Amino acid sequence: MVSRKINRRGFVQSSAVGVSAAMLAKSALAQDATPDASAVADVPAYNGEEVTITYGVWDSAQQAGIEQQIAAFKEVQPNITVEIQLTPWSDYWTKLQTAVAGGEAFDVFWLNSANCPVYASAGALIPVDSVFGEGGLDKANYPKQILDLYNFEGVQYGTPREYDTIALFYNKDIFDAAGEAYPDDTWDWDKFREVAEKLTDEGAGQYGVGLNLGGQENYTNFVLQNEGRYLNEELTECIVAKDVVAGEALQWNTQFFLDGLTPGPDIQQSNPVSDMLFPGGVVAMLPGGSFRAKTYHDLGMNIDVAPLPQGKVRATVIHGLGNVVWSGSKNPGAALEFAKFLGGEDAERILGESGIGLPAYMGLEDTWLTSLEGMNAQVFVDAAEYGVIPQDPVVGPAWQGTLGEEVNKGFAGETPIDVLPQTIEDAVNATLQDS
Amino acid sequence: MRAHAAPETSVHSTSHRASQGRWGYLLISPMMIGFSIFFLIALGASFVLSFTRWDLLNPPVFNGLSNYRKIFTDSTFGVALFNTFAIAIPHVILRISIALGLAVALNSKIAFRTFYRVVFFLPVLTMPVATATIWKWIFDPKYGPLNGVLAQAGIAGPSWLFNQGTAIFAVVIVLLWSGIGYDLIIFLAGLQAIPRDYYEASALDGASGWQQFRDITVPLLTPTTFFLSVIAVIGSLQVFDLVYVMTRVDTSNRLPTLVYYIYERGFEAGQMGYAISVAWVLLILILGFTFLQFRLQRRWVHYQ
Amino acid sequence: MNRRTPGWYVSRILLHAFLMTLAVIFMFPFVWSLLTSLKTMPELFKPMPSGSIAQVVEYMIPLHWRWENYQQVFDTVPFGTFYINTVLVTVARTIGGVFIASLAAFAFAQLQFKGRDLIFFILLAGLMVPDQVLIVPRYILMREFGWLDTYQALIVPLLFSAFGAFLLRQFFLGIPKDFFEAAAIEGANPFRIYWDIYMPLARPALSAFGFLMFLSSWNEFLWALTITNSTEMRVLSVGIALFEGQYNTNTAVMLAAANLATIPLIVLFMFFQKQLVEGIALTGVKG
Repeated sequence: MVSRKINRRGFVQSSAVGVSAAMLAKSALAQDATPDASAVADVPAYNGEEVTITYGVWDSAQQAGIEQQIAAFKEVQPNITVEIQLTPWSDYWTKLQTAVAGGEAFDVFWLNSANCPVYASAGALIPVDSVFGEGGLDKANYPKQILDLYNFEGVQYGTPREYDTIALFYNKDIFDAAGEAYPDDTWDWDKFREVAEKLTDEGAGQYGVGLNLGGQENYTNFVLQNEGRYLNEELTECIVAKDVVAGEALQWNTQFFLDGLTPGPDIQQSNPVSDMLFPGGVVAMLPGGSFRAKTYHDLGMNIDVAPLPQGKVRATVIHGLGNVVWSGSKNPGAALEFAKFLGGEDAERILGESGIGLPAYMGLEDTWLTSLEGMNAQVFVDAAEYGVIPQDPVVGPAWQGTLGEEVNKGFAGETPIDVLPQTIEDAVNATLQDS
Repeated sequence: MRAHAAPETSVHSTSHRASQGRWGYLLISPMMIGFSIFFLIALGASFVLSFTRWDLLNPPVFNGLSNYRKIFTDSTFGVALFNTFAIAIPHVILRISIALGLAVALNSKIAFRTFYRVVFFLPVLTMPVATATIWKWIFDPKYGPLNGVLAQAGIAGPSWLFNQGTAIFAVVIVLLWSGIGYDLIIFLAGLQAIPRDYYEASALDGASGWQQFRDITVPLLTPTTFFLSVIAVIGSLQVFDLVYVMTRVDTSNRLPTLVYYIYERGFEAGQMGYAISVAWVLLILILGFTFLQFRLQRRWVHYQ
Repeated sequence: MNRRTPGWYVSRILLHAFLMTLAVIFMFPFVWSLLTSLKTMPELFKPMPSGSIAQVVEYMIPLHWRWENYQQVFDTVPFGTFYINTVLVTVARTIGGVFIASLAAFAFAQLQFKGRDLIFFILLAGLMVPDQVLIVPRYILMREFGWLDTYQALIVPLLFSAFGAFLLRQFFLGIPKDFFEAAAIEGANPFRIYWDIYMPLARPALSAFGFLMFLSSWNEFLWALTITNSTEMRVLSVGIALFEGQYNTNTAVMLAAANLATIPLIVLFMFFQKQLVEGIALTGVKG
């Protein structure tokens, strides 16, 4: 008697669990992540009512600057309250994916250009075309490539915030001690290699150059300078070996590691060159991003910066950060207003004065340069002219992970240098097919 | 051997047994209701999602058994499985035996007992981020103190965290370092539960310290030891955070473990559906081991 | 104690030598973390000269003791708010968690009911699935409940510790059945027996579990990160991670934040471990 009752209860309970599990799965299955373009086009304009929107960002060092931007926005739109939602950088993407999949994400948030195609193609973003032209922002105020960073299939998905380019940092003290002339805009690959050899002193634990293990601040620049590319035009296939020049650049880069001119991946596992060894004074030169300038400047060391040495052509990776609007936002009108404001002159000036990022708004570079007094940071601004946007297919950045992993096997000497391009190509193609 | 099987006597009336049954369900209900809402539902949903192709951003698409089929041909899964066991086996064995030894030593009236207890527990209290930062530095091939000391002895130390074999060794060391204090506390609590008079009686019989350890402490501590070994197996097979932080280079990991692989597939490669199916395989694996442990406990665990 | 022969002294000295060596290894990272948290930025970047132990020690000691790093923790983020949140959430989880787990553990260990072992085993499965794959369904659940970014979400889902139920069950199994039988014959209901007899008897285990639950709750990261958004709802573990930048991290300030979060735990532990010893006197009941 008793046991039967219990069985029934057990049954009721377990089936309740089953039903709600199915509902939850269905809710995930049915998430309306792909609103069609027409629905997105008519976002109702903000009507002045009192609303609160959230702003997802990842850098606590910029919180003060962002608060200033929000205060300035409040003067323009007194009825929109913006709440900063700060997530640690290393968890930002996990959190953002969870929030978008879970159906409640930030109204406005930071998105780097590498992720733009992924989120845009999934319908997670609202186009921001309406804020340009009659909407108030003038596209002429931004370098074209920087606008293009957030352009997916002809639609603009983000208002530009900041951008970064790569140049060659160098430690003047090491150059002075060796009696070597500082790098300048006449340098090419051979000169770079030659000076790297001269300044490497194994006994003293000094490296001529510090090459990052990631592409953005290292090998991608040289692949571009050799007029090479990773993927074909359609972004469906890796051509690192097929298109010989890309492979050549990677081999040239790898040789620095094999010859001990730069700290290898085993050392950089705990002491990355740009975070530790270059500011630590054991590395003479570092190809690095504009985002590092402020930290190096404030260290009070003898560090300056020159353009990257050039290959067949001048080129550097250009990459950026934009403000985008989530397609599930309950207040899309207000969110668009805020995204527009962030791309405007007032907000960009506040960003520039903080010294943290290079504002995308043309003419405001000086605000950033002023904060880097004594450093020839103008080279980063000039580099925007020959900056190239890395290609990112909609399948997401997974292929770049594979690429990086295979390149690093070359750096470590685990893949012989002569078969390196082919090995990379095969591995990346496998990932692209899998995605 | 003083431990004896639980007396099988009980109050035999049917009504008594029925009332015990009702009380049983009542007392476990807060736990089980919460568990069902906050765990079982999500687990059920994940089961459904394991049969889909899902990148988190686009709606999941049902793809039948293909995720599960793929696991068997996935060589990275094989590597992750191997690494996981290579870490788990030495970790579980060493952890339990070292913690037990320390617990017995620190349960005696030894000098500086309080100091030792606090110190051995310190790593458990240290924030994971601090743990990872310092151990990475210790194992650094060029600038780390470990290879520095080895160099003094004329030995060229390896790239500890970079090569698979040494990385497994290093990770096990750090896991032991950060986990022994935890087990120590539970063992100490277990030792408190052993009635004092057992020891007094055996001392009267002239038993030595070693004999007491072997005949009283070890058998009467088996419920605790059993608990800790089950938990250690479950925990070791899910090792992730520490390995992730310690062995990652740029975007790749030198020592992928199963949960690292699940994380990487789900959140970095945009294959959450596949990641979930790997998690289900892991769940079944752990369930199997745990079931085996419960089966085998009859042979060595003594309840009073 | 009764045989202080020369051999006894030798073995004691050896034991202490061993334990002290271990103690140094165990303390080293914590000391390092304290010292590094006081370094200046330029000093943080200095690679260690590989060499003698004296050099390592010299390297570890800050050249300029920068106490401002601790001030900077409070200037960068509302660390005080994180503290209050963490204390609140941790206390609630611990009290509720110990009660719920001990109730279930008592039933699993001492009461006979149908399906008991199967239910217990299913409960254990709760420990076996990596959180990463459950996080999205749970997030949806929290959204459905309207609990995102609330204290309920931080507290309630983490009240149900299968770990605790298992740990306490093991201890309750160690308590002789005679206690239960005797009380049952006197007419006490199982809840009374649990409350009046088993809870006091299991004090060392309860305080150990309570402390461990307190600790894991204090350091819990993933859930707190996922279901809270606003700065006012953040807890310490997430707050510390906020000091990590994309390109530049001031490790000293981050470690200062980590140390600030850890120190109360150390004080608490010193108090707790004393309780554990005193537990002997309180529960030295005959078995």
